[in-house]
Amino acid sequence: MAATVKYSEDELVMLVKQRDQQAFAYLYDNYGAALNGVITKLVDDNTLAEDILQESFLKIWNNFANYDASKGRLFTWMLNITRNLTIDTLRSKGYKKQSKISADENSVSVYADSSYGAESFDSLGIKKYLGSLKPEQRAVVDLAYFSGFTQDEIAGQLGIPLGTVKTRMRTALIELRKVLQNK
Amino acid sequence: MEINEIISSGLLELYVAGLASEAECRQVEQWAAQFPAVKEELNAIETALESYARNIAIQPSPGIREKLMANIASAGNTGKTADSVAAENIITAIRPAKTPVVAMWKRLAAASVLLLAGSAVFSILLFNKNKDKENELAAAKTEINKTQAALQKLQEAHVSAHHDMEEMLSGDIVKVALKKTANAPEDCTASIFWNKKTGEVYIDPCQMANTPGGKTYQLWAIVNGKPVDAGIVKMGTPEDRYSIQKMKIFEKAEGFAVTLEKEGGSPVPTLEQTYVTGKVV
Repeated sequence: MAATVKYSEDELVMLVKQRDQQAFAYLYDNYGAALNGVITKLVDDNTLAEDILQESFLKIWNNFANYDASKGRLFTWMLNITRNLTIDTLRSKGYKKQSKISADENSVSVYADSSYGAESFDSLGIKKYLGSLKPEQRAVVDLAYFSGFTQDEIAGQLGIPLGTVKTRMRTALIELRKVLQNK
Repeated sequence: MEINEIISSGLLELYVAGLASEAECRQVEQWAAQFPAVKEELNAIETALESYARNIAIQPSPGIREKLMANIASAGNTGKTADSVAAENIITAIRPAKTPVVAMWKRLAAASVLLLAGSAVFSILLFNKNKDKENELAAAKTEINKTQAALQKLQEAHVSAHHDMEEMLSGDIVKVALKKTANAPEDCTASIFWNKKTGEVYIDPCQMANTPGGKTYQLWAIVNGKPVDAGIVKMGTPEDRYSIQKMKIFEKAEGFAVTLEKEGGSPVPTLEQTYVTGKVV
């Protein structure tokens, strides 16, 4: 994680497009853990998750010319590649399309039990803040952004009407933004 | 759509999640290019998502970075050395259906052309099928209209027949039987129903001989010893022949006669062509 050089996103994109390996290492250091976290939401097996992570970054490297900054942030693009690869891998390994993600209260109780006072803002503190998101809000964010489920499937998974998926994503994102701004 | 509506619709969140349809994506991209506020909102959603992912981050084992960087380094700038084949093999092990990355857009393009061609053929087939169905539908509609018209005609006939029957059964009707005269070529009879109260005269001509071509039957009422035209008896169709036909109105008459006349009738009867006659009793 400890990179001696810091790049802005624009610089990073430019350098990696020029096939700068140092910049790419920075990219991995900066985003690898986050993407690994996303993969781990869908894959139980840590070794498999890391294989997928490595393959995702190879794909990111090989396809970097296709990244169009005008269409969105770099992370979103990398997330899409990673998520699609994760889903493809699970499918090719015969996993049924189902999700580890659930709206179960228990799945977030770890974060939800402590109060969210103004403490020091270490990563644990942020997790506490995330705890203020309702379980169903976290579930909809996880499903929508990480699972590769369609709107229909998300509605089915959460047992809510199709039209509610959009509104719930919206409220969840607003809540998430509030939480992250406060940190 | 107003900018606020766009922002609060939830569509931008779907777009970032990659869950929007192709048309929706194009729409969102157009809005983003057009309205800075939409672009900003998209950016905020993406940033929130990124921060969220950072908070669920799991540090991968250090070996991954080494392997990855070794792959990249040996693949060089082009990514086309022998070592990249080794990298591809690792990938294949993870995902057997792996396709070469470079050719992907070509495959996609080919697939979309095929898809387009397929959908065009399908559209034409569907269009033709649709046209067939439309024709069938039109034919069926015509058939229904015809049937309905026939039904209505029948209903009218029924009402009229019912009316006639009521007339006949009311006590005011006098029946006059018209018998064959020596002039008639074959057996003929006819019945006259005369309502003395209203003067309405009806004839049932079903027992009359067929009229020769260009000729017609004409009914005469004998009033004060003189024949007076009572109207043409229609024999053209079976319906005419077997219906009880309403003729002219007479308040008084001593008798009735039917003569054979030229088409359209005559002002005076051709007496030698008198087929049937009868006296009011």
